[in-house]
Order: sequence, then C-alpha cells, then structure tokens
Amino acid sequence: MFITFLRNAIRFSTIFLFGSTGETIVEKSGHLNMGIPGVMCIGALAGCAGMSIYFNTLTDPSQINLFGAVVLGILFTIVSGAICGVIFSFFTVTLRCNQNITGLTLTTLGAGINLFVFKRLETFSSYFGKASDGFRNLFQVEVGANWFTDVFLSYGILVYLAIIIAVVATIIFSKTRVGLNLKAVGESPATADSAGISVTRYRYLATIIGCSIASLGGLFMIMDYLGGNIEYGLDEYGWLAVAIVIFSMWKPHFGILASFIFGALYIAPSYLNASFAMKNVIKMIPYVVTIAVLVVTSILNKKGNQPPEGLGINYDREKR
Amino acid sequence: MKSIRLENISKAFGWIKALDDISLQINEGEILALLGENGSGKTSLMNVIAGIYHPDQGDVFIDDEKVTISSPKDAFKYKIGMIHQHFKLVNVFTAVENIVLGLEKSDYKKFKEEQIKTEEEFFAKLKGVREPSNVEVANAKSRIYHSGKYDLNFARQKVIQICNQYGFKIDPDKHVYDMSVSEKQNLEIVKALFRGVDLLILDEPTAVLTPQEIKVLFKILKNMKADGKTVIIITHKLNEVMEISDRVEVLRKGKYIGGVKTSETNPAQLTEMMVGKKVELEIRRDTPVNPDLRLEINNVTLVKEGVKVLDNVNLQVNGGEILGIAGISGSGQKELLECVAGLQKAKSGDIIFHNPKENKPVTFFHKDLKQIKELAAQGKFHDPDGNKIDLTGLKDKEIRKMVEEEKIIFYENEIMPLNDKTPLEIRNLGIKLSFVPEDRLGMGLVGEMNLTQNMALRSFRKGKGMNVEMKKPERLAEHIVKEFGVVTPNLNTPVGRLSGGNIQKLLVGREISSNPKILMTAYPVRGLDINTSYYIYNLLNDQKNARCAVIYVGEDLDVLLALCDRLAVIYQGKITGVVDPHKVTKEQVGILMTGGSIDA
Repeated sequence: MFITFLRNAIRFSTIFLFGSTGETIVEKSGHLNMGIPGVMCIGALAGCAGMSIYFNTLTDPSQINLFGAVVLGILFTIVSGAICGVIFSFFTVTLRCNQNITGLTLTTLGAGINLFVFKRLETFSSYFGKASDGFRNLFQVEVGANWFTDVFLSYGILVYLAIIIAVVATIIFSKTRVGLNLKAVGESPATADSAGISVTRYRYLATIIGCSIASLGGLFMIMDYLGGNIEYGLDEYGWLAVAIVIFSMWKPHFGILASFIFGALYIAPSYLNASFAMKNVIKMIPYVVTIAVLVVTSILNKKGNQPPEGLGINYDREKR
Repeated sequence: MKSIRLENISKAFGWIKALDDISLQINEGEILALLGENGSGKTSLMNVIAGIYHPDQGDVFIDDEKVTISSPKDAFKYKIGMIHQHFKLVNVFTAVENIVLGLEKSDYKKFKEEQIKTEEEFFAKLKGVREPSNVEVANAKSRIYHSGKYDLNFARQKVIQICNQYGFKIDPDKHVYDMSVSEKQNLEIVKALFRGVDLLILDEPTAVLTPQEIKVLFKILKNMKADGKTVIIITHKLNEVMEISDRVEVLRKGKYIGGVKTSETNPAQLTEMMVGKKVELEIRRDTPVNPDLRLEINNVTLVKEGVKVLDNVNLQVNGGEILGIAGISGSGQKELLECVAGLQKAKSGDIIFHNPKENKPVTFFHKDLKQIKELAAQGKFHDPDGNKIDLTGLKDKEIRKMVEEEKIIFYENEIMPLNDKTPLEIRNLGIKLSFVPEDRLGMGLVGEMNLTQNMALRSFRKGKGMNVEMKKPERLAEHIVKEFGVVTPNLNTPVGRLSGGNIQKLLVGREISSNPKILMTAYPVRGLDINTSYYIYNLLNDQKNARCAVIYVGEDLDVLLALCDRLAVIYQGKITGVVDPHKVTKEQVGILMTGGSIDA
C-alpha cells in the first residue's frame, strides 16, 4: 500500500517537476511566465495531435509502433512548447509587452484550445490508450518484484527525463559560464548587457527551452499518468508548478523534492480513509505551504534566496 | 592604444540634442577631467566611446584609425572600460563571479597567452644569471595552466594580483550585496582592469564616497596613471578637478566649450566655462537671529526589519536656523525625517514640537472648543491687555466670538509631542517635508498628473462635499511657476515631462508656499545646475529669515559646510556629532561620517 502510494506520488509529481524546472529556467532569465499552465495544455494536445497523424495511417491500435509513437509525441510536444516560448518572448522582448498579461493570455488560450482540440481527437481514444503503454512501459522494469525496483526503477521514460533535466539544469546554473550569464541576465539585464551578453538572445533561448520542458509535463500527464485519457483539464497543475518555483526558491534540485512533496500531498487523500471535506482540505495544503514559504523567506530576507531581481521587468537598453 | 579622437559627434534623444557637434582629443597616459553641469552631455559623450550609444553623426578615431564601437564588448576590444554611476553589478554574485561575467573561451585563451609571455620574460631575465628553481618552474606552470573552461580559481588569482598591484582591497568571494559603495566601485574598476583596459572612464566616481574614500580612489587612479593607463573622470566638482586631473575639457548644454591644462587654470575660470557666465561661488549664509528651540528629538530609536535604522538619536532644531545633516546615503537621514513627519513610527523616544505661539492668538484651525477650555483652565492664555483669561462660566458662543476676534492669546510657546499624531495632523501644524528621492518623482509629486493636480495633492481634503477644490491649487501653480521661474508649456503638462530642475522647484515651491514652521528638505539640489542650486539655497535662507526651522539633508560636504548654521553628522543611524560648520574641516566631518570621533 505504502509502496504504491510512494510510486504514484513520484509519478504524479513528474508533471510538477517538468513545469517547475521549465518555469525556473524561464524565470532565471527574468521572464515571469504566467503562461506555464497554458503551455502544458498546448504541449499535451500537440503531442496527441502529432501522434494522431500517425494513427490516421493505421487501421487498428495493435499496429502501433510504440517507440515511434513515443518519439513522435515527445517531438511534437517540444516543438509546440518552443513555439509558445517564441510567442511569449516575441511579445515581451521584441514588443516589450507586459509579461503578466502575455502569460495569462497564453494560459487562457492553452486551456481553451485544449478542450476544443481534444474533442476532435476523441475518435482516436483507443489508440491513445495503447500508445500510453509505450510511455509507461518502454523502459520499465517489472512491477511487483521487490520494493526497490518498484520505488526506483518502475517508471516510464518521461519520469526519468524530468529528473535528469532538473539535475542538468542545476549543474548548468551553478557550474557553467552559460548558467552564470543566464543568472546575470535575470538579475540585472543592464549589467549583463554591458558585459557583452546578449539579453535578447538569452531571454529568447531560456524561454523557449523552459517552455519546451514545461510542455512535456502536459504530455506526461495525459499519456503516462492518465493512461491516454484525454478528457482532463491540465491548467490547475500548471499553477501548482508555478507555486513550486517559489517554494523551491528558484533552485531546480530543490524543485525535485518540492515537486514530490506537492505530488504526494495532492494524491494523499485517495489513499486516506478520510471524509470528502477532509480530502479537499488536504488538497489545499500545498497552496498553504507555498504561502508559508513566501512569508518565511521574505521575513528571513536572505539575499541568496530571493527571486531574480529583474524578474518581470522588460529590458530596454536606450531607456534613460 | 595611444590616443582617441572624437570628431563632430552628435546625438539626439527625441527632440533634445544631447550632443551637438563635439570634437575632443584624449591623450595617452593622462588623467582627463570632463567637466560640465548635469545635462551637459558628459555622460552621453562617454557612453558613445564606451559603446552604449551610437552617435547619430561623427566618428571615433583610435590612433588615427576610424573605428565603430557598437557595444561595451567592442569597447573592451579596444581596451576601453567605463564605470557607470549606477554600478553594473549583479548583487547575488560574488566579486569574482561578477568579474568573469561575459568572458568567453577566447578571452581566457588571450589571458593564457599573456601569462605565457610574462613567464617567458621572467625566465629570459634569469638566463645567464642563474638556473630557475624547481619551485619557480612549477609556479609558472600552474599560472599558465588554463583550459579555457569556466574556472573561478584562475580569475581569483588574477584578481588578487591586480589588487596588490594597484592597492585595491577586495575579497574575491564576498557577495556584492554585502559590499559598501566604495567596495562596489573598486570592484568595478578591478573588473575593467581584469579585462585589460588602457582607458578607464569614471562617471561621477566621488558622488557616493566619503572624503577618506575619495583619497584612496585618487591614489589608485594615480597608480594607474603611473602604470601608463589613461583615465577620464566625469565630474562637476571643481576641487576634485584641480586635485586629480592633468587636463580639463568642458561641455555645456551638449556643446564643446574648450579645454585647458589644469595647472594653468583656476576654479573661477572653470565655472565660467561650465556655466557660461560669472557665478558667485560663495553660498549665501545669513547670520541667524535669535534662534529658538523648535523641535526636540529625544532618544529616538527606529527598528526596521530587525535592524536599528535610527539608534538613540538626539537632536535639537532651532527656528531661524539651518540645520544640516551629513552622512553617507542610507545612514538613516530619510528615516529620521520621516519619523518627524509621522510617516514612520519610532520604536521609542519622543519628538517634541515647540509651536511658536507666544503672544499669538489661538485659532480654531488647530484647537477645538473643548481643548481651548482645557488650556484656559490651565492658565495658558491672556487677553490683549496682558491679563489672565478665565473662561469659566462663559457660554460657548461667547468663547467662539472671543477666538474669532483674536482676544485669547497664548502666554508661551505651545509644547506638543508628535508621537501620537497622524502625518496629516503634523502637516497641518506646519511641519513640511520635501524629500527629493533619486528618481525625483517617487515621493511628493505624481509624474502622470499635471501641475495643478499636483498642487491639489496637498489640499484635496478642503473641497466641499465630493468635489475637489481646484481653483486655489491652480492659482498656487500659477504663482509658483511665475515666482520660481518654472519652465513649462502650461499648467496642464504632466510634471513627469518637465526637466529635473523644474520638478524640484515645483516640489520645494509647493512646500514653502504654505509658510512652514519646520521645513525638512532632503537632497533638494540633487541633479540641478549651479544656478538653480543657488536659487534653492537662497530660498532656504529666506525661510530661515522668516523664522522657519530648516533641516537640510545634503550630499555635498562643501555645500553643507557653507550653507548650514549647525551640522549634525549621522552614521548608521547614530548621530556621531553636531558640529559648527564654521570651525570644522571636511576631513573631520568625513571621520564622523564613517563612525569615528573628533575633538572639537
């Protein structure tokens, strides 16, 4: 029972981990992207739409080449995420629009378009069910053999990918020149600019990469966790991912832990013998914890744990 | 790099011509002072050399070769570095992280080649004298080793080497947010030297430093000059020009005026070049007449976020006197003024206002009927003939009539604590705060609103019903525009569109217009040209003569010493001394500003 809970918590937290790692990378560049929930929705539907093109050539779900479907899905998702990143950056960097408004627009768009397109894809639902086996089982070790393999080795490809990305992001932030430059762009774009770092390039690239990563969260939720069931909205998870960025104080390796905590709390009610009201109260805990973390960090006012100084502010070199 | 020549540089921002056909020569190995008032285009011109602005017209020549400097990175290529007034540092990075920011693989390669060259030179010198020891060979190898990877150890060593060479004191692993202003400035200079600049431009480097820190900085600059580097220092402070520079070039309103050798000129001539006409450099200081106690600040302590921003402050402010407050910015000056104005609540201590009411009639403006009766029972009033007034037994109507006929007169000054008063009540008592923050508009004026509306900000409670009274503010705006010579198209212009000097005149003018009893001004001349500054000094003197108690928080010690009747020095929220500006020297004030003490 507890092993199952642990396993599902880790699986569920993957959507948060994708979202928070992606958003952390975006925010490190000084972009406050409130469009992450939308990006996740768009990522999920783009992956499914991409696979459906392939499914269209088939006559029966059993003909699916699982590996091909997985690669196709991931590819389409990443590209759609990148497009979202380009849209966001075009508005905020090139046109210097307000970042909050741009992001919220993206979220509204994503959530709306999600429902619209998934209705069209309903005819392929049996194909998605089959393809989700690929996402879940391609690299999976037998479940139920012993607790160690169950907890650590029994996941689909995207779970591992999420953790690897978070670790790599941490290393890039702390150990490389690119990470240093990116942090400088987010903290003080004027400084970075005068040091010869292209603020425009870094903001575009960080946003594109971050959105691509976040969009994988949506694909994971639909194809892996929900087993190809496309009828669920995803935007609420996106908001939690944004909260996790704050909770983890802009550190992707903390993000792994934070995502797990949020994921565990989110699914805990189903494993508890509690009343309906109580279950909803438990579901609220992540939000309360986020507020508590915000309060505590701002009281401590430790300078290393603050959001990037230039977060949410567009950079204009000639502005005096 | 040998020399830089600028030819016919022009640059416009919108309709304003910041630079108008400027030609200028910079020679190798000199310290050049670029002199001019705020807005004269000094910084813009240097930004052209540093690759921040592209000139609309004109060319830059380095060693008679035409070059295009289109980014700060380009400037570094030509070994030009600029230190801006607002430091370009990332707060959460350490010193060394800031220094390597923006360096690429090729830069490291270049450093490596340079290092190899110096090591080879070292061994070449040894040749024939003695064999190099194993330790020396190993050290040389370790110094040369660098793979081009992101490596802070390499940078750290080089930083320490630069610090030792020129006399900087920098801890490579200290975070910028833990640094003092002067440390940050040193870090900026080291950053430029690390990249191997030959020409260093400093934009108003002394504005934020204490006299002692300025001395250290100048020593470093002289070390750099001795090392063959060229230094340009942008400034409007004449004494510094005379002290440090070899040559002076003067700009005025975006135009090139001329250049002179420092040894062949004097401050008066430079001022004339800078302003365009002869200016009296003496600041007016009228002798105070019978100063009387107006404000007592007793043991005031203010705690903000766990830090004592004000620590047991004791001060007395007199009517008919200008009290100066000197200190490094952020030492608690702002908080002290805000405490008096009621905007901050002190944790402990008293602020006591002596309302100059002696022999003045009581009014309903500050007191209601009940309060007047209470005060009368305490024997505080006399009638026009000097007899004590007894209000017992009189009807309210009769008392009202007496007040309106100004027959109830105070015996002595009214003493009232301000601790429990709201900011509005304090304002109505005649205690006015005009704080000029760095962005000028932050406190006091609203940039989007026009002149009249900004005047109404102080009187909007006075309208009838829901309507805001706009007639009087309009007349006031008209009056200030005329009286103070504010340059504005009309009264409906948003104040944000006015120039800094006009905004400041407007702000100070509005506060003065209400005949304050205490006028607190902070940095009222920040960023103003000489003429407007002197105009403001004169206004403060007029207020002083009108028995107002003036508090002047300033940055420029020369001005503080010349303008004030008494000078309080604040350091980390503590008053380190109240001195007589006639008797102390700038250096002594500097010692107080950094927490030291002097015998005076």
